[in-house]
Amino acid sequence: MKKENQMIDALLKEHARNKCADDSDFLKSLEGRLDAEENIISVIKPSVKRRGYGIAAGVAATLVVGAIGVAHFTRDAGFGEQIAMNEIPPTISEGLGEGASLAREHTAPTGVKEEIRKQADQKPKLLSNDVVPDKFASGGGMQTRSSAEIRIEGASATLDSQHLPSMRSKIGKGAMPRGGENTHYHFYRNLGRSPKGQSVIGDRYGALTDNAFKSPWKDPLSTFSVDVDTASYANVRRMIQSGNVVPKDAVRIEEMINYFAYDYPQPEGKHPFSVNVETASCPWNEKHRLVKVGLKGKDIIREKRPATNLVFLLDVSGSMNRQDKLPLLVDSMKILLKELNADDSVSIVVYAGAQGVALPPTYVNDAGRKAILKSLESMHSGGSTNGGAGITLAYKMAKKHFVKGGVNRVILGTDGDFNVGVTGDESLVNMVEREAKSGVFLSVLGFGQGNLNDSMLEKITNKGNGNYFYIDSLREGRKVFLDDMMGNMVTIAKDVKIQIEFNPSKVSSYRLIGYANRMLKKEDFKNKLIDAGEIGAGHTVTALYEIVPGNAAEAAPEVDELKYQENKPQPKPVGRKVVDSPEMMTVKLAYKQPEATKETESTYFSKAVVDGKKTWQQASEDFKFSSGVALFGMLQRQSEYAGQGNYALVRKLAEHGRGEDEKGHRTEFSDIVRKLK
Amino acid sequence: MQAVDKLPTNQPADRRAFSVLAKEHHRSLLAYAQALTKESHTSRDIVQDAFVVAWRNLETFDVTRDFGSWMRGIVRNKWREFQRKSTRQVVVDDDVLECLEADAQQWDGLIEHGGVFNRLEKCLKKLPENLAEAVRAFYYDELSGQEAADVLCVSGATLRKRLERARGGLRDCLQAGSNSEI
Repeated sequence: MKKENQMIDALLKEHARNKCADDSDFLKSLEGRLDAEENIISVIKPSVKRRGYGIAAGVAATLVVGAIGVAHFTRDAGFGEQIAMNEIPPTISEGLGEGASLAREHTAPTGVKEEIRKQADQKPKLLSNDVVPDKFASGGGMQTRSSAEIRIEGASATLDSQHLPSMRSKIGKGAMPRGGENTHYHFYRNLGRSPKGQSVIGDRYGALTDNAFKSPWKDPLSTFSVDVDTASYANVRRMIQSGNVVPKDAVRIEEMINYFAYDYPQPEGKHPFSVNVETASCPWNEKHRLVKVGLKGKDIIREKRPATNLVFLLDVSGSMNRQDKLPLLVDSMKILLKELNADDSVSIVVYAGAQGVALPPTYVNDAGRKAILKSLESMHSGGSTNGGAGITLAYKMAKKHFVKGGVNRVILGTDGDFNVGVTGDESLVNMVEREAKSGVFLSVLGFGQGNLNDSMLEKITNKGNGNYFYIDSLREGRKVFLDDMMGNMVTIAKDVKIQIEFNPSKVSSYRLIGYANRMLKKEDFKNKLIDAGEIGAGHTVTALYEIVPGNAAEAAPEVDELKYQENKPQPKPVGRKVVDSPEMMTVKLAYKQPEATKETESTYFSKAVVDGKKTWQQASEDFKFSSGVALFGMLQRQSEYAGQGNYALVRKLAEHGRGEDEKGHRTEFSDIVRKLK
Repeated sequence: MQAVDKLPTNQPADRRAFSVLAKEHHRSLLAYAQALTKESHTSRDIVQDAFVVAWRNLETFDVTRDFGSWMRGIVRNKWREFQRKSTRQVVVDDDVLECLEADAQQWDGLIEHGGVFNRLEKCLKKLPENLAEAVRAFYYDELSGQEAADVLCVSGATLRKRLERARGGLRDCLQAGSNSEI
């Protein structure tokens, strides 16, 4: 096609789409975004003012003469112009090339240079309309600062408008108060996320540090919150299947292990879940022992499940416009719809530039089913993402139609990009945590790649008494909605914490595999106020400990003598005696009933474990399979603890542990491992 | 230039006036963005983002320039931003950009005469039948080049030639319209 005809070609295509009429969807969505802008501007204005005064005062104090102060401000403003090039119009940002020729043609007598100066003077004020979360703040508290400020900092570091440092503390202390020893700041540069957090290429993962071996003398207790998320496995599987490199921090071993169902017995007695412990030799280090702790939630017969009030919060932003995102989400929802009945209600809230109710609460009877399907069929994506406003609306709706004694849940489907409004990880996480107290739980379904904010999605479900799944295919959608969600939706216990006490005369050191960002402080176990994970009906949760057998006192490492302390370090702390017991450890559990409040005391129970000296070859299929998955995760994380483990051993463990595998998930795992050969 | 009168200057930006401008320009900007991206979903996102940026920066808008070309500048920058982040690059050289801008500017002149799309409909009616049917099949029935050629019982080369002639004719017709009616 001739270059002269390219515009008419595009014009014809646009005309064919909608003839002469306005594109009302487009305009509606734009209006929503402009509304959202106004809200942001009104929120940010006070700080802009303060900053303006600050600059003025600073300059005045330094230079005394007010006029010089003004000149100084102008120079500063010019700097702002230089670094904000990427979105301002051509007369400013394109002093060269085609922009310049346009400017010459259309500029009034003032001339181009004059105009550039004039407009640049206004730049910092204008840029301050953009809100960006500030992750530099210590203690995890989110502050809001204008992007102009951030941009200036970025420019002073790199002088490059396209590569502003987007430093993000991925797991901030404030965000993960229970993450104590595993918490640290991690700065990411140029992950493709702009300071405003607009949708860009690049999935984002929080940094994880594997738990290290600990001595029972020093740390007799290991405490963690249960995790029934499975997103990490599905995400890693997608990356391996498409031949991509798996980022280390995308691998959360506990989520990989918990992706698979294990055959644990139903609970007997008063507690809502059973505790099952199995010990055998550790496949990747035969001198070590491996302990599998498995919980199984009480099954609830589907027909007997309580009424549900589901509010779907769907991300319909432009980035969801891919076959593996919104259309897959809609198809997966249709599967769920088949499982629901006339007692259940479904509502749909969408969010993009603006948030809105796409479907008011609708009972899933015949007419309702049709209405829901119709609403699903009409979903289409466009605009950017205002997750914060959408979540607020979804919770409001869930609370308004709260079913007492039923299942009240917001189900968020997104690729994880929250662009406008409440942007910072922390502020969203805090909001979700606050809302969870009202009895509305949250499930998050992650979709697609290239834009997935895995770190945030995981974090908000950690806090929101919820769970996080990743859906990459209709098959996965079926598993999540039918097998996992129907279980998860009916929470049978919440704030489930596990604490294990190790016997120092049997255990030289121990290490919890995975759960790196689920660790709790030892005192949190008894603290009813500390939030932890939930267990759904029929759900299994599995954790593995690698144990170095022996006497911890004898195995204490040799330390150089201390200069300033009179008490020399002893291999066995003075005055502490060990109770003579054949037990290796005791597993203790704390949980609350799902309807319990924060103030309700947890229920506690425990189970003692004696090591049976089995080898892993004699262990159960579940033991073999779960240890295979754990080793696979360690290898993917390039963990130093993988010992003699390799992919051949993973395959062996997975194949020996396959069992009946009715749903084919374990076979699929073997296939993936084979791919990595 | 005419649309600019609707923008109050040196006053707090008027949302209603901006909405009017957005309504007037959104579809031609969508066409412009489509000429850059060759993809309709991306162009919608880009144009939306561009309007938001324009709204934020309305005070920098130079009233001596026309809104359409200012917006196209922002759309171009948004498109470049998108290109940098995207793995799929569409190369559009400067000559083409100039041609696109020249056409778009001319068509902006039609806004007060019912807009470019109205004018386009009139021009379409003036096309000779053999060219009109090629345009209908390819653009409006959304057939591929080969399918359209098959339907019209002509070779692929003939269809391409007819479409090129039709585009040239429509362009001339729009140009004549914008010159004569302004």
